[in-house]
Amino acid sequence: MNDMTNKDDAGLNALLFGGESTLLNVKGFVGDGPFTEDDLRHAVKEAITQRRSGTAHISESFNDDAQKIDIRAVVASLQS
Amino acid sequence: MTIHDIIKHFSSYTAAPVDPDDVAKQIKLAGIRDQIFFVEVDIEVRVLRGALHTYVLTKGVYSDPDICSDIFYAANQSRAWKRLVCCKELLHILDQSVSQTSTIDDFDKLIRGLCVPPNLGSINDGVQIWTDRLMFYYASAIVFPMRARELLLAAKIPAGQTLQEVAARVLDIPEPVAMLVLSDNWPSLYKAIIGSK
Repeated sequence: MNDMTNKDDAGLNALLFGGESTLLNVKGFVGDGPFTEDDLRHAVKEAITQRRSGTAHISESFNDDAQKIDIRAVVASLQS
Repeated sequence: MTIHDIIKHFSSYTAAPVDPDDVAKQIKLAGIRDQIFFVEVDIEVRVLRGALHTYVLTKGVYSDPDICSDIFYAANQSRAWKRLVCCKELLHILDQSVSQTSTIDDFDKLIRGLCVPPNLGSINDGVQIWTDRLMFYYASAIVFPMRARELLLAAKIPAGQTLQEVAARVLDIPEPVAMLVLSDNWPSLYKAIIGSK
């Protein structure tokens, strides 16, 4: 198990600190759990791996297709 | 333009939901030249909802390096959560150098800190982890603008529904964020973190 964790760590460190890119910043928004440090490292590694391998969906826009609602109109309709 | 200016910009918004693309636009107006990419990934949402990864990419000896900011978000969560996650991680692009996680030691500290529930955190967790926690409140202030809060608090809520449910539905935001922003303590917290109402 320790061996696996060490390999995972080495792989993640190589993704973050090796190659042609220089790390400037990493931050995270964790889920509701439960999870361990290893789970978290694995999730970060997985995300970067999917991005590098092209299996992730990548866009320069969030592409929000939600229809905008005016809160004032909603509140007015609730009053009536 | 600072992070506080960006939050103030959105504070008067009455159109919902707030689009992360609009937040990215404001960040660019703040002078950030990063290439920003939204990256939807298949990761366990129970573990990680999203992340920011900012790096310098050197393509060749004679080309200028690019600064890229990848905004990761888990595919398996609602659009409301995706928006919140993306807004929070976008705001981290404005992290001061002291708050950035850029070394192996910083990263190890961040991972350890993220595993600690915020209410159990200590001052020794370091500035990177506290910035991470604080940014959740900043992002909440953006997706649930102060003006929208004022309007909804004055609204007549139909019987059988709660104000929190109506707010979460109308703004298309996660219910915990609706509960946080509608709490009595929010105006004073907002004032403390933003500087003014």
